[in-house]
Amino acid sequence: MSYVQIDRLSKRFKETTVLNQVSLSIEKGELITLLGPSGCGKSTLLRCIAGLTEVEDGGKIVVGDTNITQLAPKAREVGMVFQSYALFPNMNVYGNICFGLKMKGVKKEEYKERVERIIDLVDLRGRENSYPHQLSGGQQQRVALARSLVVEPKILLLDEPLSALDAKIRKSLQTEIRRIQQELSITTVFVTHDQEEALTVSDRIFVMDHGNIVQIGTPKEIYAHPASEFVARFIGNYNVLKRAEMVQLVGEIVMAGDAFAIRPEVISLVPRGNEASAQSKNGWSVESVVRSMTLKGNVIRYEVETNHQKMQVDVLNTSDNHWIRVGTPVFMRIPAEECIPLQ
Amino acid sequence: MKPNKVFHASLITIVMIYLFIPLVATFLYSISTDWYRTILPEGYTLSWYKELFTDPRFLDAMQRTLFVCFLAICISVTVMVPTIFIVTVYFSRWERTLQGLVMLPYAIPGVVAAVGLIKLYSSGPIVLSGSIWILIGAYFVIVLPYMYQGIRNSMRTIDAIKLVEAAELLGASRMQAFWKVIFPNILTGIIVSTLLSFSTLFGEFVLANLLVGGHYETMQIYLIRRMSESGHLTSAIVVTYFILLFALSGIVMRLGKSSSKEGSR
Ligand SMILES: Nc1ncnc2c1ncn2[C@@H]1O[C@H](COP(=O)(O)OP(=O)(O)OP(=O)(O)O)[C@@H](O)[C@H]1O
Ligand SMILES: [Mg+2]
Repeated sequence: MSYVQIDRLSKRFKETTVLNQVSLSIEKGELITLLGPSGCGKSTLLRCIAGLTEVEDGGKIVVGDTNITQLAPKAREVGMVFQSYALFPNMNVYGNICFGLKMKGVKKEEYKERVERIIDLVDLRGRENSYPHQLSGGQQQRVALARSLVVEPKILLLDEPLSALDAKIRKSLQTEIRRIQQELSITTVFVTHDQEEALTVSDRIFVMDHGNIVQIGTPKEIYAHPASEFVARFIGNYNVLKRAEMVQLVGEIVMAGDAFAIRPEVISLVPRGNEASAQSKNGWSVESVVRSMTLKGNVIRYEVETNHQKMQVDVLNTSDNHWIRVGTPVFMRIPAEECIPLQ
Repeated sequence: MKPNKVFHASLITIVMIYLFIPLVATFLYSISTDWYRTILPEGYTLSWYKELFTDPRFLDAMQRTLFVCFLAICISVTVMVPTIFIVTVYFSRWERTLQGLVMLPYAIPGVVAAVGLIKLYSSGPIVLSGSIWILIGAYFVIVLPYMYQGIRNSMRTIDAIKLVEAAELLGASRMQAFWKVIFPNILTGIIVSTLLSFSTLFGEFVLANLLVGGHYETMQIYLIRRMSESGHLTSAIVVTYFILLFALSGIVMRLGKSSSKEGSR
């Protein structure tokens, strides 16, 4: 049996159903992400696990061997880091980190060492006496993390912990959080609406849409095999084509599936007048014209137009590829095995 | 840029002079021996202040005012802080109702309130008419808007709901969350509201006069009564009054500034 089991959890606010019979299970020591667009119910699910939001009758949350569905937040042994950190402004870093231990009645002699260790772990040595308003966003984030971790919760809940930080600090804190999580091997639920972040940090990703979990899998599985059009669009900027559109594009196809997803980076562009090399057994070549290009750093994204469709194509940003310009007539080569059928 | 600045400066100076001349004149009058025929007083003396501060009536009145204001505000703080906390954090549905209720005193003129209160409490189950309790009660109501606004704003600023949630998840009870996390962070707000209420009550005349004026002489009533006796003495009272209020507002502004500095990082 899994360490955390959530069974048919529902939540309604007045008329709107925010969580619709959500069931999921998490293994001990695993980091899962809840990934989904804004408003799909990620925070609500976290708050339900933490006990800050009541759930509808019939739902059940079990952690370890304990059914915590009806417990008060303080009895659940759940740690949570809020998007806004919610640090206590009247306490310094040390005071913030100790707070949970004091509330639990741990003696000062006993917790001293624990606090010191956690301060080292989150790399806040030297800032113990600073107050929250004297810290940078990233430091505040780490105080919030330390404050939740020091009481050794059974699960750690992180609600978009990095969304208020700029891109660089975000990247480094992603790895930091992952490192700390693995070092303590603490079961963690990480909420984000950033697919790249989810792919980087998770053991498994739970993709949510309108209060439902629509796909579960490792980052690799989710990225390579999106189960639905929604996941395909959300996770990887896939080109999603309905069956009819696919037929228009490449002619008759034998594959089953109502729609097909093609990643932008599996398509290659070949100059016209070089048809021989454009032909390939396992795939199609389609006459098309480049309509626009966007520089994305290490790749260039082209929008390529055929007679019927527009497709996104990613090409490595190397000098070999610089012949492709806006207006260049090209062949688009699509390998058949990279077309993922969707239900 | 420059002429603009000069314009601003002179405008401010004129306004300042306009505001301060009466004060300065009052002050001069309060320390002058005679001031009829000359531009400046003929002689200076502190005897008016001496008379004032040795007048047992004045000291009594002062004490009464302080007592009534202090009690009313104490009750107000004790009642309002927990109420606002509970409503903000646990019963946000009731926030509008509370706000409407608390703002009522703004809408009712003092005279109307006084007459209503006297009528209501002069007979029936509770008779308070003429006792200081009716004044304290009325003062409690008057300061509600100041108390409410100030305390609720500071709770909003610190995002009290999130802080309480964080504290509870870390194992704090609701009481602990309030005392250890919320209270220290809204303390400045409470003090500012308190002082603001204090200076409001300190200058309040209508209710004091109508409700208990006959036999409970507060500062305001004392001031009015002695006005006719000696202009110099009245001036001394007014100056004393102003200095007190000035000190109070100074503290309020100081605290307000330091708390807003803390709020913005
Ligand atoms: N207290 C509430 N009362 C009414 N509706 C609410 C409440 N809390 C959340 N909702 C609604 O529930 C839905 C899901 O909200 P939730 O905060 O869980 O979204 P989310 O997935 O966390 O989004 P985001 O990525 O923007 O944080 C939203 O449509 C929101 O309007
Ligand atoms: Mg959210």
